[in-house]
Amino acid sequence: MTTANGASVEVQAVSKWYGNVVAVNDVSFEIYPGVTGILGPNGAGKTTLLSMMSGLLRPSQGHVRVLGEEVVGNVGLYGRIGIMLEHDALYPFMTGRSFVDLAAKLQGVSDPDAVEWAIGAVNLLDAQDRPTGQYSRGMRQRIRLAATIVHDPELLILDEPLNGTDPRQRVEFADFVARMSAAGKTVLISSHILEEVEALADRILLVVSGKLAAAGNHREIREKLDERPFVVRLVAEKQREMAAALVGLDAVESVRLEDGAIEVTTRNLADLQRSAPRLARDIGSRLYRIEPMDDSLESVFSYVVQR
Amino acid sequence: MRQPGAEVFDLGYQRYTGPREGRNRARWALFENGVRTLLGIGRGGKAKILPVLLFISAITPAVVFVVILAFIGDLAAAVEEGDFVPGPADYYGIVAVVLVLFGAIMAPELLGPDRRDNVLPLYLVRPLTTLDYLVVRLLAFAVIALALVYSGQAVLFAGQAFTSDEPLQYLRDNWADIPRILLVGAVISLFISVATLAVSAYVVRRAVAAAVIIGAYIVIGGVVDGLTFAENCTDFEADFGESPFFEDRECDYLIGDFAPYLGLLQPAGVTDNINALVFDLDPQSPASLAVSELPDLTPVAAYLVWVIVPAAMLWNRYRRIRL
Repeated sequence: MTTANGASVEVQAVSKWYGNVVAVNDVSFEIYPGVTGILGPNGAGKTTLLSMMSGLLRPSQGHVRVLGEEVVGNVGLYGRIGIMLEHDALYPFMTGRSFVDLAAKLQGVSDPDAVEWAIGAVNLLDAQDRPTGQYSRGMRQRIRLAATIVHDPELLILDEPLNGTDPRQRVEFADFVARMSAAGKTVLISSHILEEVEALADRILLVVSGKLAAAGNHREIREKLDERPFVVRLVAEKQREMAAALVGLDAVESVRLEDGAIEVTTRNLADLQRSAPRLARDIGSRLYRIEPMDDSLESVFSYVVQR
Repeated sequence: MRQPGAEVFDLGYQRYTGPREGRNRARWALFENGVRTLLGIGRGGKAKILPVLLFISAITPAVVFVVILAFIGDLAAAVEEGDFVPGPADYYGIVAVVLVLFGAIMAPELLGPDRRDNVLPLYLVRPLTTLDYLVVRLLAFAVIALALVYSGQAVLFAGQAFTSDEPLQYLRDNWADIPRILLVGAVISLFISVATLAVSAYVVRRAVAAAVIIGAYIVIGGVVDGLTFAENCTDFEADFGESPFFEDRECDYLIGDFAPYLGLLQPAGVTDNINALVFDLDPQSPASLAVSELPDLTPVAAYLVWVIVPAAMLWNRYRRIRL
């Protein structure tokens, strides 16, 4: 079940303070099925927000509704949510299988097939009978993920799930999250590995100093950052003539020749993308490539944080 | 042969459609985990050494008592002559110390790693409240403590029956001891479980928690015994028999009339007093002797305070924990 507008998580005017310290300040947003990334510098309030969405912290003000229900004190709701916190740990003496089995039983699932499936989903069947104390950091993350998904939750809240994983495991994780998303689940991921979030998340929430600084697809957010002109790299056959022609465009603010390419700053990316091929044709040059240089999540993140 | 039709295998997300049991399943899983932790089940041999040693320590006094009984021969005559005939109350007097050791060593093992290694979220982001967690952990501990004390009593009771001349007659004569044994065992187990878990909730490191528990037991016990030591006592009950009109016993204490109340602070006395009350025996330690001057309900009230206060401390500690 979701809220009336289809959101799995609804955060309404939520603030959290500890004495005089405001950790989260009047934040509102909604999270829908699919993959959402939550980003922010250290101390921005991400973990506080995740803890409130997990029902582990009561907001000082405002409401958090998860799957249509108030989450704080709603113990029954945990059967529908899978939560993997950044710092939670494992019993080192327990085997991976026993750990996932315990997590399943804590969720009321006694079916050994569910345990088998969850361990298989994180590719740890070969190591399931080894004590988790002998696991690498990446394996520990994966067995924790298996314990989080073993009861087939509708909503997954994953705080830094990629910590300690190697590139191959990240690819597998991305594949797994994509399958969860395709199955209509809601996945909320907090991570400091921006490229991974960029690849995984349909939508991001950017939290800065306890406030929600931006929400949405990162390219859409980039377009709304008016004070930051886009930096676009063009590769053309006749570079100098092309640069001169570009200077004449209203949309262009500056033009620079660098490393065999033309670097243009513009506040109107769409206009530039329409006009550049026409200019190239007019001067009889081939235009090989037009690529925005700073619409990556990393650029968006740094621009929003610096605002 | 007919070729099988085309099949597309679902390699994607597998939805779990099996049964989902309620919160009691979660509580049972936590209980099971607690019992396994305490007994070292599912762990290496080293983890089983302490529980096994503690079980041996709990059974040994009962076995020694049975051996003594076997040598006594005629129990009834020995009782008549005032010889020492070990019984369930004596066993509880000894096993309470073993249980304190068990609590000092195992209570920090049960609670400490969950907080120290940050495993607590494993439970608290599942359908369990903090109260569920504490109550189930306490129950797991108390059940093992009960198993310790009852197993020794079972050996002793069976030994008493089989070493008597007429075992069946022994059972007929002493069946009333069974509810007493069960009651005092439960009283001792609950007190030691709550008290040692409360200390373990505040002291995360296992060795320090064990030292605090054993130290408090010995130091407080010694100080209270010293302060409640009576030099001159008049035993009216022994001299004139039981009377509703005067105290059984009157003593001069180092710290005056306050001594019986101070005696209520002795940790060992908390269960000794109840043990003496239930089995209708004279208490042994100076503090418990002093307490025996107070009305019978006072040790019961003191016991309740000794259980409720640590339970409240335990709750207070976990209520404040932030994940």
